[in-house]
Amino acid sequence: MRNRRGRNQGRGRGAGGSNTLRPGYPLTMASSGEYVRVIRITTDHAAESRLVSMGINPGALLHVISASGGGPIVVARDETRFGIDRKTAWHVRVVPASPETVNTVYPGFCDDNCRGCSYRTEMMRVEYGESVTLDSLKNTETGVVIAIRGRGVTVSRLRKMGFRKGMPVKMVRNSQHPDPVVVEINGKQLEIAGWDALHIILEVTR
Amino acid sequence: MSIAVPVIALAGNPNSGKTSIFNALTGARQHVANYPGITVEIKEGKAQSGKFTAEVIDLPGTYSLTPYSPDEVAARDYLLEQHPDVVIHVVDSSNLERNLYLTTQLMELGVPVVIALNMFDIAEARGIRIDSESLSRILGIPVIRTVGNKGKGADELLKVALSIAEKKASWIPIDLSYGQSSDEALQILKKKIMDMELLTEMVPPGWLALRLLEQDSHTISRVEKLNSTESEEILALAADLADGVFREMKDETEGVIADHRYGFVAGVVKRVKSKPSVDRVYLSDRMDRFLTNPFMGPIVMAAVLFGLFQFTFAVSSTPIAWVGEFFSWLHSAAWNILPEGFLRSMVVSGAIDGVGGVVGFVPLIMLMFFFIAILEDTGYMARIAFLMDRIFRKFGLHGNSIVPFVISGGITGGCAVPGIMAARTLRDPKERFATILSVPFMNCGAKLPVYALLIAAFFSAHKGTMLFLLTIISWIFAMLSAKLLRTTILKGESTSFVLELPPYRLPSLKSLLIHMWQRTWLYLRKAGTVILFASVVMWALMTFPTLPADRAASLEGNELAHAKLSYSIAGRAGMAFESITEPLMGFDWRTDVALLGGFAAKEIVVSTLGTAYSMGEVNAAESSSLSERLATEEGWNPVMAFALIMFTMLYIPCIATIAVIRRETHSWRWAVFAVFYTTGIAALVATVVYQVGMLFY
Repeated sequence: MRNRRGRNQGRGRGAGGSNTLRPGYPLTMASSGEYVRVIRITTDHAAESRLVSMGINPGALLHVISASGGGPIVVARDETRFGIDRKTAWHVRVVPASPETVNTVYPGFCDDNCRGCSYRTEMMRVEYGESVTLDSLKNTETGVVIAIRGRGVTVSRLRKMGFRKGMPVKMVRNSQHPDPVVVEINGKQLEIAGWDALHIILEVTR
Repeated sequence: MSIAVPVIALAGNPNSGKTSIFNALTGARQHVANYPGITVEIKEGKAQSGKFTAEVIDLPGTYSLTPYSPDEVAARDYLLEQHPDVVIHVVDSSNLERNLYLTTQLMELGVPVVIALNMFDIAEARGIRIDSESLSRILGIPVIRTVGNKGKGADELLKVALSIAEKKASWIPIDLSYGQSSDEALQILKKKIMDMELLTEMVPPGWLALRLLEQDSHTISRVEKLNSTESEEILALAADLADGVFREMKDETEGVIADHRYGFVAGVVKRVKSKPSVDRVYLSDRMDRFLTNPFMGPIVMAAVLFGLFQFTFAVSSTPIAWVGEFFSWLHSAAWNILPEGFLRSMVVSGAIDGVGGVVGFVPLIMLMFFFIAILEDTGYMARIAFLMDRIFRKFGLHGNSIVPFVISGGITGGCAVPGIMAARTLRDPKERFATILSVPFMNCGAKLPVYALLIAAFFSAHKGTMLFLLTIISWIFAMLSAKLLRTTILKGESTSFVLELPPYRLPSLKSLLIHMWQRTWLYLRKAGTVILFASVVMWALMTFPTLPADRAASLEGNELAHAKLSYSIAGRAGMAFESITEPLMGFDWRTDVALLGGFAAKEIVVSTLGTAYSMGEVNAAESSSLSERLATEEGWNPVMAFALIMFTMLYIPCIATIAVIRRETHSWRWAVFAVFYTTGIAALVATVVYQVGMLFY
């Protein structure tokens, strides 16, 4: 078999160790009732192509119907409901989205002669700026917390550490996942486990 | 055939209602269920419109032309190799965007397409408006609104499809843009392919270029098979160009191209579909929050199944008694009418008692099939699959394996043959083989009469509970078997699982009755043909050679009958096994004969027992039911009966199943392995049950 260019070499541990910007958070961390938009799929090649052809493509708006318990996650895309196993869902990275945009963010320049455009770019440009998880913030970069994701215990632990919505965060030292990262909030330096850092979503300030 | 009949192929996403359209077009009554992946075979039918006839092909559901699993490969290969004259793309109106993704792929291929905007009544009920005229204009494809299960729009669809098929137009692929860098790469690749005339007789060069740029592994291996310097060259070029696009777009070409397809689709959808913003949480979702809840879900599922079995037994016991009485009457009538001799023995002991034993359970089976149809048509079956996924994973199976398991007898009363075929939706061969080899442990409809007989004889106080228990036990053994296989000869990682959950629907009584009747009819037909034939053969084997007159003369009554039977071929074979089975599992030689017969079909276990015990009868004119007879027979007790139930559940799949295992795995080795594997486990389990049980009995 032909050698594929290896973007998914590190699969299995949330593409850990990759230095590229990894915006969004895994679908497993979305909560029931939330609307999210898929921005990237990092599974193996066959599964990605499967998800895309089923309609879980980058750019797709999903309504998370149920994400509780240990079983598959149920999402709605248009009128279809999908059950996605947790391992696969982990590799579907999403950003928060609003349900109102479902009818309005389609590319604005379509006419009868339209022969294609990049769905993803158009959708994303309209919907959100550039949100990332804390662990992908580079050294000395700053960002503002826009959401804290995950299970109740994780969220409350992170809240106790001082993370709040709207709070500026500066990256002091970002070692590679899963090693802890060191950040500065409220003038204090904090060390956070790499796993926890995944749960904090920021908008990068430049 | 002198004149080529136009060929219409039905393509579309799973669960988009292709099969109901197929039924509407051809008047067939193919099985339609409310869960994806029910059609895994290519089915053919004929459609008539005025004086025109067309051949209609129902392809397995597919999400894209980049095939994922063996059933999708079949659908795509059909399109590429058979070149149908027109493709009817069945589109689920409620999920326009996702469905149109496949449409763009069909348009890229250039095959003439007609869109059937199916189930538009449901979409409209949800407030979705689709401007089908605009859709048709933008895509340049005829669009017909249909409601497959009510047959609405089918005539028009057929007419339009036929008029296009008549033209036998050449394939004109659509020219989409995939972004500048991909488009440039495509041009270079396409020109090269046209120069080389690579596969041009089969697919349009533009399509081949697109597939190669996407680095689609099926297309690559197809080109590799050409094995020429040209194919080497084109593959190297495609890989190079794909690399170029990757460097520029920071994404694989397949992703880039899929993204642009969705871009095109989104633009189309935006202009033809309108939907008021409504609360998206439907009744289905509210039900799912409860029914697929990790805690409540399994409890509800168990309650549903348990209730179902209790009810089935309770309601069916009276009609079963009627059928039993009818066969008793037939038995005595034939006994009195026919003159004494081999003919009377054959008709009464062979045919009537053999077939009667099996047909006697028809009321039970009908009712069971009716409830299975309800579970399938409402969509609850897909939830059962969903709930089982967590468990399946622990046993090394794929979530999609559930469909084969459920079809094979998840609720007691399926059949392993379609179940094994349904395993085609599995991509990974190891998961697929583990599924195929474990599926025969499920309780198929043929095992049901055996259970019913033995339960009625020995566990009559807890009929429903016993059947519920047996269902659970069969699941446990199937799971353990899968785990065993997956940790030994079929080791490997589990692949990802995405299951489409269909919305709950209220099934129509008509379709429920049709499903019930179709399955019952198959059962009856089997009883009238295979079982009848096998019963007579088994009778012959149990009669000949006859006991020499000098030995017969010295014996009387029971002893005579016993000696006659044990002198026959079947008796001798049974005797040979008895020395092993009697001490281990408590099976006497007559049971062994029945189990040998069960290899042809498991119902034969019942029919053979019927024959064996009626032949051994002293006063055969008075017939009591087989279960009553077994209950009082020496050597039979609840422990032995339970061991026999377990053995029947687990031992050799029937001949039809072996044949389908051979076909699906393409190897006799797996089929033979299945025989020894299952029988080995059956013998082991029955021995343990009997030995342990007898300690307490």
